[in-house]
Amino acid sequence: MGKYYWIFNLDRCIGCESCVLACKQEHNTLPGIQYRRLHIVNPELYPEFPTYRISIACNHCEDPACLKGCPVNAYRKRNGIVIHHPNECIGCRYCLWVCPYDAPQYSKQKRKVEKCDLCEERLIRGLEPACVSACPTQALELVEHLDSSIQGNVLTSISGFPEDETQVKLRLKGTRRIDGVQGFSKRRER
Amino acid sequence: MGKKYRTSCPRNCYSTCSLLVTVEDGRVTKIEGDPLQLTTRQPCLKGLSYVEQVYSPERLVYPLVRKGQRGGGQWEKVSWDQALEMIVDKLKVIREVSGPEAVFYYAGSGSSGALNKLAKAFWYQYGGYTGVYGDLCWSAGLEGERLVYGENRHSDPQDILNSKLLILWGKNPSYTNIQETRWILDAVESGTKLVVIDPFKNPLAEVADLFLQPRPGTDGLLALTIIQELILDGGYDREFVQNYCQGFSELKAEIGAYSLAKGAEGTGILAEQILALVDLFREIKPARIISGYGLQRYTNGGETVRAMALIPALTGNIGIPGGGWNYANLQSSFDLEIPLPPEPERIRLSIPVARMASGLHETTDPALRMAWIEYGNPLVSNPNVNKLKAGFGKLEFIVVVDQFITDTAAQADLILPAKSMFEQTDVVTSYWHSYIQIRDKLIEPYAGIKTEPWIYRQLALRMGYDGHWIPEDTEELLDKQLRTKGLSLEMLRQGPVYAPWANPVVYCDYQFETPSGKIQLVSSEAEAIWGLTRVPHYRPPVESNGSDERYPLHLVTIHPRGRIHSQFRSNRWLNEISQGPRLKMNIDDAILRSLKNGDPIIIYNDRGKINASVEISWGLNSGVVVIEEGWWLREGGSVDVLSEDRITDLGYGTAFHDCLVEVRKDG
Repeated sequence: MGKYYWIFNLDRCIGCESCVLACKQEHNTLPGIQYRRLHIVNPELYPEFPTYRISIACNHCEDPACLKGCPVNAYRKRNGIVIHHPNECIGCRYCLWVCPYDAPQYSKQKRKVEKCDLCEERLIRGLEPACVSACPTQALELVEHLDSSIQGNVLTSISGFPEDETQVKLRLKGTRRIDGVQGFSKRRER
Repeated sequence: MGKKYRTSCPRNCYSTCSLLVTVEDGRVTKIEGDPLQLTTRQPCLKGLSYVEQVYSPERLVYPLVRKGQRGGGQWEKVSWDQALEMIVDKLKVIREVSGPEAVFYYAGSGSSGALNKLAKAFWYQYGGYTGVYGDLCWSAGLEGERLVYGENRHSDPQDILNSKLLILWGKNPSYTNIQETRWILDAVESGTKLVVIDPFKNPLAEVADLFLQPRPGTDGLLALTIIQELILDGGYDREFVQNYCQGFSELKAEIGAYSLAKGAEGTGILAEQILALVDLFREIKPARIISGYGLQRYTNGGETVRAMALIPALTGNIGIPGGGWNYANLQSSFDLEIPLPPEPERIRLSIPVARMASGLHETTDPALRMAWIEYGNPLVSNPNVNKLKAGFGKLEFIVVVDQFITDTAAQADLILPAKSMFEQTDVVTSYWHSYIQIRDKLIEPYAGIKTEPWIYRQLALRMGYDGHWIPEDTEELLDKQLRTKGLSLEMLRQGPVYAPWANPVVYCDYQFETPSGKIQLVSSEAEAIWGLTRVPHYRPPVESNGSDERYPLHLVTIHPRGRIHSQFRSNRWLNEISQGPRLKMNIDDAILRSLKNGDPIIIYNDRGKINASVEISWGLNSGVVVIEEGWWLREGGSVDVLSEDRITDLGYGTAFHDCLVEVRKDG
């Protein structure tokens, strides 16, 4: 199995978007291009469904749809990271169609696709990805292996999430927001 | 590669983060958190976007003089010499003909630093000015807290980890103090009970054990109802009250005016939920109330905070780790005495800042002729914007010092570019943690921009004043003053310094700087200074649901996540993820007005109207609407077009939230 798994704690994400801005700053992406984005499930706070925030970049899947679908082999894997090679990219955007997580981003200015490279250069220097080190609540982590202590407590999918057809390397934990749909929670009798 | 330097963020924000800044070839290229500052190791999205902010193409780099009509958007670039001459000319004539009080001097909260005080070294030598007193934000609560405890202090943010019960009351740290959420979430994971009290269901309410949604402006009633239950039905800490509190019998005698039924009706919270909270206070210790800065922005705000502040005392939660009352922590604040010339007699502090809009119109003898505005954008951030704008319109000369052409600068006759936080060394303190920090000069001022002290020094010299009060070398001045406190700039460059006189857990010596030396459950100062009752009582806000049937919606203006008030609008990174002004509205209210999600709307009342879009939400009750503040005219208009310029009951604060509106579809 490849290295690197994102671990995302739904209970700890408060939607602050520090990760989004840290990613923007690290990669200095052009206007409108964000490799990492915040998604809010049920932002209307409809009371019979949970509301949670989830920050998603490339999940560096074990069986990546982008890589399989690319007609020019612009995607390759290196040390468990799905790397996009801009020199080979022809901007056809097939990868945008097949990725279930909207990870590849198309740059109109460059006429090419770009995406998260897991901050490979930072990893080589022994640093965490920019998004992980910017998270003020430790909602987002990157681990090199899924040991048993993690495996028992995580999910690969939650309702509303794509079927795991790509062997995604994102694991979710924290179910307090999902369990706590009681809205006015835990009323007490006197 | 560049080199990393330490600085701190001077915005008007709880967190006051220490930052590591990479500078390459004289340019700021990267912002990161400072691993040395445990409390704020990760900056927020705004802090991370300074790289874009400093070099924004919208940033002002030279003085601009108005061409054509005021507010017409036509400007002419002038040299600093021309700009300063123009100001000196006006200042001399105005002082000669009308006196120094005809100049209105206003400094906002846009950028903190000890050197901001140097402005006074100029204005004192000018012979005076007309200024404001009071505060736009927290002062009602500061006074409410002071009347009870004698000071404004709370324990270290990390002490949240020692709490077994946390009451997050009117505060949404996921927007305004993200570093605090880490401690709260850690505590919750280890079993601490979390209660959230907020008119809007904020992100932490979703993980709370109990969530109460009071009607806006009724927090004081909720507090007094809780106190009534604790005192009359048992559960307060008798021993603590006997030892450390003053006025219990008087409080007990008057608290009978409140009851669970009245409290439930007034706040709109179910009686059983109020009891659930009372039970938690009875059963769990240490408990800490963390108050926000929204609930004091009502005409009853000071008494709200005074009543809330009694609960930790009555339950014996003061002076212990994990317990307490978190409103404002001024432990790191210290008076870095900037030497000033003698204070002239003709300083006229006659206008409460809350009532600036009316004050500009009403001030006479002499009437105001000129305004100088720095570190602020009152035409977005101060109440009753339209009236305020008309007040500015009567003046013959307006100078605004800012980094951008804000809504206020757009009405100026002369705009002077302001420095950024990376362009001059200063010292900043926090109102949340207890660290003193350097805000260091890391780059030369961008494109020849000048600092505010430079501007004042040049003006002083041109006016023939004593220039030594505003020295050229401001670092030497700071260092000299720091050394009188046993600190130095070099020391601060090594990392944030925990204020030597601060306590991680406050009031553990049970010494209170109050008239009685005890916690004042009742206060004669409240009566003597403010004309209120000795026991805190609830009075409904002047303007709230039911007080004007034409406007059935109570508008609550919350702090934005991606801005500090009106700052950061010119930041392209943040604008990429901004959704623009959106009014959160309950589904019933939306149906009543035939509105669907995303519809363009006009929000209006007698004071004015603004544009926004509607966001239907189940997170708030019918009759309440919520919008983020800080929007500029070009984005739809400041939310404070809608607010009245009213003063609070205590502390000369600003009652922004006494505000009713109606909403209709645009077009």
